[in-house]
Amino acid sequence: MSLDKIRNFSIIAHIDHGKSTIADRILELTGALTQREMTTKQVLDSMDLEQERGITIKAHAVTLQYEADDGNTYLLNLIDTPGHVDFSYEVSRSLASCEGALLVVDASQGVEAQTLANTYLAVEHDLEIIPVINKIDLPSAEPERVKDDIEESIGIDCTDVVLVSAKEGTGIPDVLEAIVRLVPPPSGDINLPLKALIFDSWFDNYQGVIVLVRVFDGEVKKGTQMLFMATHAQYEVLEVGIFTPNKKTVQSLKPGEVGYIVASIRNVSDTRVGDTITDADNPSPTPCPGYKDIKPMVFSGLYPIETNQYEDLKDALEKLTLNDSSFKFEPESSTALGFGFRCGFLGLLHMEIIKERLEREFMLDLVNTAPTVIYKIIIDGSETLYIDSPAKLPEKYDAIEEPFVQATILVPSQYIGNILELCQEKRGAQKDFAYIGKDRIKVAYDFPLNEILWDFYDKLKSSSSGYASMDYEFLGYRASKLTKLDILLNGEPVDALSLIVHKDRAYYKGRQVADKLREVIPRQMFEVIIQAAIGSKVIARETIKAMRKNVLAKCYGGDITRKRKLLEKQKEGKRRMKQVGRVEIPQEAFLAVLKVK
Amino acid sequence: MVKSSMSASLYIHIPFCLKRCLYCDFVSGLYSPEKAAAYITALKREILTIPKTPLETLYIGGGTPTALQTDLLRNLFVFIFNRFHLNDTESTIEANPGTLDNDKLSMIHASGINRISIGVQSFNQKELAFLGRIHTSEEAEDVVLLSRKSGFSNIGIDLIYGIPGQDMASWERTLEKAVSLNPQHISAYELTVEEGTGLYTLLNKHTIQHPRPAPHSSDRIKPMEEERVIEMYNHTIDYLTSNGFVLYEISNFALPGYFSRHNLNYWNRGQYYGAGLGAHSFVEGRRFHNTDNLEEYIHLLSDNKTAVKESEDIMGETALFEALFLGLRKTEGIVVESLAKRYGTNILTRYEKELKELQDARLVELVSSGCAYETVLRLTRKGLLLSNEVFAKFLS
Repeated sequence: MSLDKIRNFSIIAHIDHGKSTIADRILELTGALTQREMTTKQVLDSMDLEQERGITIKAHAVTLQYEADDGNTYLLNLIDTPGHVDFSYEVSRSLASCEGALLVVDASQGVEAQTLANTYLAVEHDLEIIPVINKIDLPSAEPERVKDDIEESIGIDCTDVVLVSAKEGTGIPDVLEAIVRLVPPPSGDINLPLKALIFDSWFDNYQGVIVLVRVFDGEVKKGTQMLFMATHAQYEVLEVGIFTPNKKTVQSLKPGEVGYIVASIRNVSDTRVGDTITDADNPSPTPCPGYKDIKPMVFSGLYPIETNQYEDLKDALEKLTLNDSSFKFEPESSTALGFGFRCGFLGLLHMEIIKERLEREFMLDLVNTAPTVIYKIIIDGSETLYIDSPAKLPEKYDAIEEPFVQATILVPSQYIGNILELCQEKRGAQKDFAYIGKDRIKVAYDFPLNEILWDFYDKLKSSSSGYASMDYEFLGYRASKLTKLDILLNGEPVDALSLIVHKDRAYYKGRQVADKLREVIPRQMFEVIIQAAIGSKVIARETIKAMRKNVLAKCYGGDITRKRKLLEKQKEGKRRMKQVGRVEIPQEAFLAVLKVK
Repeated sequence: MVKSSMSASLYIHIPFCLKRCLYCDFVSGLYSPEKAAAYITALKREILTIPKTPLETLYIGGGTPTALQTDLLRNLFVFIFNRFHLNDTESTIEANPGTLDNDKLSMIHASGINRISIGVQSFNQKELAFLGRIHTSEEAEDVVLLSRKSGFSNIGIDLIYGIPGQDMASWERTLEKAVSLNPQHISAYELTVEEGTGLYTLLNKHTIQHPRPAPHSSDRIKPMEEERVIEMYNHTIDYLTSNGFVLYEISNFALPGYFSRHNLNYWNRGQYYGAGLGAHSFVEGRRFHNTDNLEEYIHLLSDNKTAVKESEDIMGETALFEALFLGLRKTEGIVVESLAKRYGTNILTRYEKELKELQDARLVELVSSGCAYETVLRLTRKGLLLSNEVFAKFLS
């Protein structure tokens, strides 16, 4: 296919604004899938979790044939992008593989922070942006207002906006025509050395790692000795092909084309998103721009509740990293929790997804400790140490720095008071405040990442009736007045419960954490004393009285089975708890430290 | 204590009451003469399906068995006593004040029932009203005296403590009154809030006004504080023990020689047949129970079909666990060697770690019995109140 008949595009949309439904309609209209095949709705979201959570975790690409009104047949490559802030780097690589993007905005909701962030990314990559207003069938649809919204917030001309209802299928042909008409065809030279950008990769049980690429120059086919320019890994290509969305082998992938490459690659860590594949025998002098070695931002300890599940957990983590190179783990041990792993995640959602997959797919019962960021410690004036767990904080140090992010929040003006209050509470420093349209406000705040780790997003939503949206970017390390808060149970420090907190709030936090722990740790057969301490100074103390009564008064009438089941249920509750010393601690306790203001 | 496989107990359920009590979750409905007559016909059909084994004990419970008319009751007793050999057997009937007169009591005793268990619950009028009982404190007292006059020499009284609003003094008076009536047996149960009962609704409603006033105050009804419940339990043990009663199970007291053999059979995992609505049986290692729908029960039996709804074979670990959590309810505990013989497991080795922890926590004790080199495992007094914690330890 000649370059001028190829169109590569992504869809940018906020969660629930209808990206997957639009993608489905496009697949249907181009005949890629029959109505019947569409029954498992939203074909691009293939992992169970993705379907359940309504978000797209991994990028995918589909190659479609489309016969346009001008009588020509075009090859459309739809490159799907993940829809959550945790995965913004992956989004950027998907966008770098395209020449255009559909900006899908809900006709009643308007532009959201995440959409804004991804649109900026697309603009940075010189993508042609086609605004699409979806859900015009809804009674609450206000396409005119949303048009103004898009024009004012992003500065995109909306005269040719495409109005669609993906649910009812209206407007979808106009979308396809707009793609053909407006998205520039790719450029590239087949005679130059191979240059292909990796925008996704995953592990397949039969074929090893499958790499999704966009070819910029040169040609890749079976037998090509490919070289990964960042990781320096080298493999012989066994197969190339495209997804239609069914997997289909092709002779070769040429400039402008999008498809997959299979070699016998065993580990996704060789196939980093953003890396460039070239021909080892005739390498490109420069890689595609923008490669970053992405590093986890959020760390948490994962421990099996039953110590004999340690090996199973290790196997499971290894299997998961085959598929997800952004997730890291290394063994760690805790005096309280025994042997487990320190795991690094891109963000909190990423962490939750991994934990859920471990529990669901690998049948593991896990405890995770409070997520934390990486702190930078300066020792002896010059030496720098990075720690990913409060337990690793040395006794003596000169200074601590913590990572800061800038968060951009979009919120309808009537909720701005709540949002400003929330940002204040989280040690935020306001950097920007601007109206978008008549009734929406964009604010930017610098935050210590640690402050917005846990419930910030939920609180943002709940204090704005769900209307506020957020995106954030990493700013760098800054010095902070921080100190370690230890938690002791019956006089023994529990390392898995220790925290790094801001000095000004240490007392308050200590009291709150002790109080929260008193609530969530059930009564034991003995009294439990909870103490919060800074260094050797105890700043809070709570007592959980010993359990004195747990008895079935009546056990007659012959229904023994019911009584037995009652006891079994009680035992099951205990099984979900982690024994630290003699104290049985439920999972909530490890996260209790986060649930205080 | 292991019974021969032949012997068994028999439980007969009478699912009728004149009024439902606030706390009750047993299978029972409102009494009507028509329903009762149809039920007894069905019940007799079911009893005919039970093998004519020698019965260790007979227990007629409810509901309120004494809610039935004298004639219908007599009819049932004649039928049972004709079918089974019951002369020396402990034969108990549950009775509630407000459903008994001299004639009925005399008939019951004359029929061969030799033990009566009277649902007194409290000797405090406000508490009785709160619980939804149909009788006064005086009526309860009269029934005890009348029972003795009718010939009963084995009389049990059921009491409840931990009633919202109840205070220690009131419980003390109830216990004193009970003891003064010279019963042979006293069951003292902590009030249990079962889901689906009026009491449950009452305690879980926050704003809606309640249908009954609390017994001792006009405040919102709250469950009794745990500390006070414990105090009441401890007082019960101390007081009844000092009056010659023996605590032989977590909630049961009796004069020596008057332990309820029927209930001991449950705790010893002996066999029993249950006949009647929702009745449970345990025969040859299998537990099964009847439907608890009255219409269905009557219908099934009139078609000569079984009323059994569910059944489960109890084997291996489950059987052993039952033996532990039932046997340890008895204050005499369980004999390690007998258990090993019956279940093939030496619990001293099987639960070595658990037993050590429980002993360290002073919840159980291991003692050697006076005779025959036997080792006995039993709950300590502290362990009685924490018995569920002890039992849960034996679940792997």
